[in-house]
Amino acid sequence: MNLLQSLPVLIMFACAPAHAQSSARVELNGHVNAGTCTVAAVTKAIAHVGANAFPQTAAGTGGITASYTNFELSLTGCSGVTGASFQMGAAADASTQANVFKNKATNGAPFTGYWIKEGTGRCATGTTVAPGDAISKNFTAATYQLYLCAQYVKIAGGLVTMGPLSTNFTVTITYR
Amino acid sequence: MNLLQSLPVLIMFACGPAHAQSAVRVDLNGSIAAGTCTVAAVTKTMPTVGADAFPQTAAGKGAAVASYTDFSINLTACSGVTGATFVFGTDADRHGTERDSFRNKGAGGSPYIAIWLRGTCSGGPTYQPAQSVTRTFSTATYTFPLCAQYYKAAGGLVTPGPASTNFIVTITYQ
Repeated sequence: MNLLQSLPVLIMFACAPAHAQSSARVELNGHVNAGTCTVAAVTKAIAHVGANAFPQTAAGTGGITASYTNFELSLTGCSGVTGASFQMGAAADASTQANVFKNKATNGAPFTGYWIKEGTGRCATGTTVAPGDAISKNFTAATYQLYLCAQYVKIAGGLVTMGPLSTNFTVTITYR
Repeated sequence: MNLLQSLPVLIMFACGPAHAQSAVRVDLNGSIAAGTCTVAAVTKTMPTVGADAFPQTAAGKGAAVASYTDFSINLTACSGVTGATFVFGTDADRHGTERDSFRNKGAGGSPYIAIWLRGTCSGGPTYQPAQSVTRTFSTATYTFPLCAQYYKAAGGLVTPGPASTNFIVTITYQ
């Protein structure tokens, strides 16, 4: 007789002390938006020119080559920004000629103002920016340079006489 | 010769109509295991930050302080549990280059954004994907404090989009 058959079957499962487990899902949801750039204010001194450099008739208009002054709006920290719209001052910054920024100097030289040109062609071949114009640019890097150039311009109405010339305007930059 | 020895033993028990019986032994053996805790899933919304909050060079690496997001894994009903080992996700949750952080799983999200998990965002230990951390419990509840933050990895500039991740925390009780 087989011993195994005669004995009660006493089988004990020696269970391993399986560790109990649980799990929890952690979900973190956030977003990065385009953000903005850092942009510095610009102050430029423009060369003195003689009144004789301007057109010599009351009705004459024209820019002055000797006053060409390049400057840039330099934007940094732009990663994620795909472009921006630059609004160049407001219509209130215009002289009697709509595309000329007015001479805001106290007792300033009469019949003068500034042309602002935009583009790498600067004052020679850049595009004239009228006060209040919006310029839209696409960015492809974390920095952007808006190339600008200023020059004195004579507006119609009288002869230019000596005096200070200055203007200022606020560029409003809307990012995308 | 003893008659009893020579005869077949014919002994018949004239049993009364006694009811048939059998007996069965009932053994009840048990023990109380340490058990588990109750743990809730965590869903946190992290702040939206501008891309300008990150280093502005392709090679630059760094965190966005504005994204610091505290949260915790809360365990309750733990009586009998003396501790647990927490495993934070798996290797598959790792960021491609910032291997100690979680990858951005948001559709269309920047590949240069990782999510860095720490005990506290400003200086706590890093809990990287698949890392195992053992903690001892002394009460019936346990709170595992954590903090998540966005981290820029090297390789390119951050672009706008989702910055999200998710992972499973596997908790093994002692």
